Amino acid sequence: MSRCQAVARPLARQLRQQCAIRPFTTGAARAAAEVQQQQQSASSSVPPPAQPSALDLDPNSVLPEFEAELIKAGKMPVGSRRRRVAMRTTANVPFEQLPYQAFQEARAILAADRQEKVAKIQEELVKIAALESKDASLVKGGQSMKDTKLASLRRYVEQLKIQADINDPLVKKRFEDGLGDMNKPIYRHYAERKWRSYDYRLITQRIKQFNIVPDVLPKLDPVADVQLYFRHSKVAPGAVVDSLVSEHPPRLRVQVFDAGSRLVSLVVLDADVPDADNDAFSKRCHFLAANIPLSPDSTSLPLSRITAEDQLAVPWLAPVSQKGAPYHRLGVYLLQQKPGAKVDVAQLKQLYAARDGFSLKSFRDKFSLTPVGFNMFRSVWDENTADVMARHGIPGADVEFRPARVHSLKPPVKPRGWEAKRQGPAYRHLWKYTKRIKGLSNGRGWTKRR
Amino acid sequence: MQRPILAAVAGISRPSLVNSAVAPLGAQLANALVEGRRNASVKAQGAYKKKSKRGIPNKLGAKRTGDQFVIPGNILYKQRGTHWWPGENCIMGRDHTIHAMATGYVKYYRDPAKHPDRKYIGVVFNKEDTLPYPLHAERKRKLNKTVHTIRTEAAKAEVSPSGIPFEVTRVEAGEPDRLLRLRSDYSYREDNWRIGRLVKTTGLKTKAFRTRKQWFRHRRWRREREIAGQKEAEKKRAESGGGGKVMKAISKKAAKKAAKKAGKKAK
Repeated sequence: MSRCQAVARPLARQLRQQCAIRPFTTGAARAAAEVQQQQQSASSSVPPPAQPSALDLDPNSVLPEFEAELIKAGKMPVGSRRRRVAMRTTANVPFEQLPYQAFQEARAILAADRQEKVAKIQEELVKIAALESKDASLVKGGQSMKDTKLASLRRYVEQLKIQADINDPLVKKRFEDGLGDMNKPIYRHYAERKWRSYDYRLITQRIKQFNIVPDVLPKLDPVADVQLYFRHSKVAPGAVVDSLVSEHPPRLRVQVFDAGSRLVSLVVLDADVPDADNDAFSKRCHFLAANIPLSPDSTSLPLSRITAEDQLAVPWLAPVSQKGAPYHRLGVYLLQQKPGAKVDVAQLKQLYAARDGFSLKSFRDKFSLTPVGFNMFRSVWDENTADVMARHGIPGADVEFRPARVHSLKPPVKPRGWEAKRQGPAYRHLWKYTKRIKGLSNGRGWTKRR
Repeated sequence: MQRPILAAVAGISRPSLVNSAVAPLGAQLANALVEGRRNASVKAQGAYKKKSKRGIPNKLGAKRTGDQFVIPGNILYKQRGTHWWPGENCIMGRDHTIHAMATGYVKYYRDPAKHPDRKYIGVVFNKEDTLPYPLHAERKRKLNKTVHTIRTEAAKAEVSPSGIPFEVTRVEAGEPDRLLRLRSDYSYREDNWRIGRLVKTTGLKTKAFRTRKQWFRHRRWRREREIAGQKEAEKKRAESGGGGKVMKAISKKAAKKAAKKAGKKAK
């Protein structure tokens, strides 16, 4: 090191950017932050080198001399020392221009791949436009073939759009931070992949193990993510919810994975209402709404906010379970309406105001709906149920269900045994031993049953 | 006479049946027949085919026929292994016995949608129904419950007819409150189960280890530590020139006695 360098080095260190976190973004916002930070460092007095700065207390950028202090404080330094020094010094380099040769080479390959995909998309778009303008009679196979071809081309374009962005680390990061724009196919693709990896499997398992198929619908394969929130906390599918908690309608978080806005109907259905007269179970509608607009970027759907005249058909009824009855399965069903078709809510009100005996299957067929989303919770008798029933005027809090007695098919047999045999007057001399035995007989005769 | 010579003389003196070293083959066979020996090439006369006349029967098989009325718990079929499988409203017991789980009528059937070659036994609620039920049709269920009004316990009087309270609470500073109840002999005494609960309020540790496994693991480690320590001590002793022999720690009195004894011996 020359004399000149040795003199300038501490100064250069001071002037260096001091930054603990690396923003992934590029552009003007970064420059402004940089200026601000430099001003801050210039205004503050030069600290003695032994004093740890904010950067030295950060496990991402701690220097070797302050490592021990940090470890004592319970934080382990992250990564290698080389990396930590790099983190201190390269904060003002945009993510794209990080000075790693392999990284830049890889980026070049990915960029080339993306260019290729974009070129392909344009190619396909030209093809689509040509096919659209072509008369159906000129296409081999007529109108149906033309439609098939168009659909297939469009599907391919969608696939290419995903392929173009799927290798971009910034896109992935944005999705993982929850900042992805769900109107873009790549983010929807990521979201769907995440949903399918766990939540979808869970919900299909619940559908199977709780016999939603075939009890409620003959077929149900969800394609949208529906999550259930009671009192701001998420409820796992199939969990038993306290009647006090479910007294107020839940909020749904609905994520659809296909583009565009659509109208949906929402049904909350109790599939286990005990019907003691017929010794059977019936169904009851706890909530019914239609014409709810839904798109990939609007996910929150609070049931209490659905009050419009052309949306709400049957308001929320607190789910309760009578004492002794088996658990009630409360299913939340999301049914997609046909594109552009509205459901007549007045008719719904007239049809389903009674709530009891609601059939989701007939509702689906009557209004040509497609079930797209599902979630469920359960309700059992608990200490709050009686109060909830009283508040909402639901009858049946004063009765309980007990298991029906099953009587044996065998004919009754006469009492047997030494004492039973000696009850008659022939054994009068033994009566002091055979009568009035606790648990067997009393003064009026034989009491023990078979 | 010496032994081998005696044997030779005996052999000469009477014709031997067993000793075949000198006898010809024909004679050998004849001898075997006389002895009653049977070779494996001769077929046995059927004793192994006879079944034992007496034995405890297992009484396996169908205990209820098709369309027969059953109630929950009835045994429908006893078997070794799974010749039949439990279908609608049936369960299989520990020994593969099929039991009914509902009141209804027995049906023996096959369900290719469930399994291509299993035979099932089921119970239906209506005698006319056939199994299997159509695919994707709603399950047939029965509530099997009866409605009763909930009986609430009548509020118990605070004070007994004789004018003294049924229960009193003994409050002492620094101790948990004790609930004493009036007994039939007009004494106030705490419930036995409440007395048992008092142990937990003392904060005493009754068990050093939460599980038996933990205790055994602890014991194992402790022994390992001990052995390791002993070995180390032995090594140290060897290093310090102890020669591996240990001076036994003895009391002063015993040492004196030993010295006296040694002195006596020396004399």
